[in-house]
Amino acid sequence: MINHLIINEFLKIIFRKRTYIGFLLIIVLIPFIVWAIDDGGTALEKAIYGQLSDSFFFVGSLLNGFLASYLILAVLINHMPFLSTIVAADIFSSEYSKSTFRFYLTRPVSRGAVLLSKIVIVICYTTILLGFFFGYSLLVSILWLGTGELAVFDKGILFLAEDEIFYRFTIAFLASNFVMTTISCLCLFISTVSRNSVTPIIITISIVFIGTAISLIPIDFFDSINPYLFTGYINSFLVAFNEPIPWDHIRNLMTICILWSALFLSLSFYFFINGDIID
Amino acid sequence: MKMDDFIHFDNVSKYFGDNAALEKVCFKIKKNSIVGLLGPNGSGKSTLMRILSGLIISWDGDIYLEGDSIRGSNTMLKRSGFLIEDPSFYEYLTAQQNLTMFSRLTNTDPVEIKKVLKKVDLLNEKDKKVSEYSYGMKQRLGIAQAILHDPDILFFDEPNNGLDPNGISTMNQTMDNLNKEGKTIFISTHILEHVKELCTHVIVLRDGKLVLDESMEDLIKNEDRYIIKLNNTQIAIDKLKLHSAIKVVDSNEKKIIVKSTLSIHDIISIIPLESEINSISRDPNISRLFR
Repeated sequence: MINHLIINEFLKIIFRKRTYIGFLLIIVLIPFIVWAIDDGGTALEKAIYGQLSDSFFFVGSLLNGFLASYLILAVLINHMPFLSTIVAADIFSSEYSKSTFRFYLTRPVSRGAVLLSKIVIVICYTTILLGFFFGYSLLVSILWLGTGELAVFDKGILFLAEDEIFYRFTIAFLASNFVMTTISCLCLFISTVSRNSVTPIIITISIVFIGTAISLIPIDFFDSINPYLFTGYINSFLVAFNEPIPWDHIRNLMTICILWSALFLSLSFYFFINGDIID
Repeated sequence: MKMDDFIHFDNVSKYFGDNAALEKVCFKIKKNSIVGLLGPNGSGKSTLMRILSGLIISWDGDIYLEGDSIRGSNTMLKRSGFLIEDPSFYEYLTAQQNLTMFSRLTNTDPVEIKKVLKKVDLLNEKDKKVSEYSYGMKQRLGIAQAILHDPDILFFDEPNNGLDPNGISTMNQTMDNLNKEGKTIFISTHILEHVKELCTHVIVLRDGKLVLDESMEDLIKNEDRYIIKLNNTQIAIDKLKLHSAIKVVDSNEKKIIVKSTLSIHDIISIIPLESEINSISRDPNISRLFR
């Protein structure tokens, strides 16, 4: 039965236009940014490596597809929660507001199974969207600017060999996906108690915004709680480009995200399974 | 419990905060009957429908289907089809896609989809998005989704809402045909005429309480019954008995129940003034129960 429910949820999102907003924005925005990076490459190189040029002599250009992707991801990742929550925000609230549960839930299926199918779809959508963001950034950047070593800052400048860069981007994607999935789970939970699809997005983004602010304000109290907040790990995918990769940090990120996701999903189960549908 | 007690409502109550939407409602439904659930807006009809359909989870009392409680079991959902209030489909999908989705939830053979669409005369419109459907077409599609898995009980909440006279006639005909196929039908409505045309039994709710539970046959029989409340019953009885169009059914010191085809005014004119009439009303009159 769960397979049937997942197919149904898949059909519900595939035929809705809003499902494609995130993909469309990424498709349009990434080439534009890559073009801008290419166009302003010299100035960008100077800004990044300017002070080092006094000590080092660089042959050729440091600007390539990998560096462009790295910059795009670093800049845009904070905005991904807006896109990754589009489906999660709507997945319950639209069923309440359009009263479609009156037909869907009057069938002999458990609410737990319906919830599970929606969770699967939200996690899949978040993962596919983020995967598309990473993959498409790399594809466009490499096609436009070519490949080469990736120069990043990690206790000074660090050159990563070309043959390990895809591996690093994969680790970065997986780490980032844990955080984005947690954000989507939060949004899904709010969707189970909301009767319109805007409220879950607003609340989720507000929480992410406040959490990110906490991680940036250098106050002892905030520093002490930040490791336990999933919002403190939004930019943590960048550690995948450190040498060596700090696996302890990634393990912490995974643990915290799993715990918060479990909490959000448990609350979703509680409210959805025990709630009367009177809309 | 008698074998013909198909569904038994036993002290069913539902409270929203301090407000009682339903209060200790008890009645029984016989197999293969068409039961009309009547009541004004806010009387608890939709709440009762939502309890039966599992949309409302927490409620008091119990409901039995052929002797077994429906609590914690999905037997009622397996054997029932529901059309609750407005037909709310996934409007961005076609009728066929909507029904295909519902068929997966009951493991129904997709071949049935064409059959039910044909039954509600929507087969030629199956590939249209539901958003392009008129209200009447959506109501018919609502019937199609309710009967898709061939349930033996059908619950229709205000099925004639928003339909024009032709639509109402078609809907009534569809329900009548379904009943002839052996299905037990439970219709909630606030329109009396629909009940008279279709139903074999009538349940009336008011302010969440059961005020009438009677067969249509008995109800029609009692339509020409009057309750006369007065101070001197004997003088009135003597006069009324003289009249051939009036039959005294029952009486006590303060009340006389008569059966008559005469109007209220005619009956009043027969009763002598010294009887001191306090009130006279039809008994039981569904319209009165609505007020």
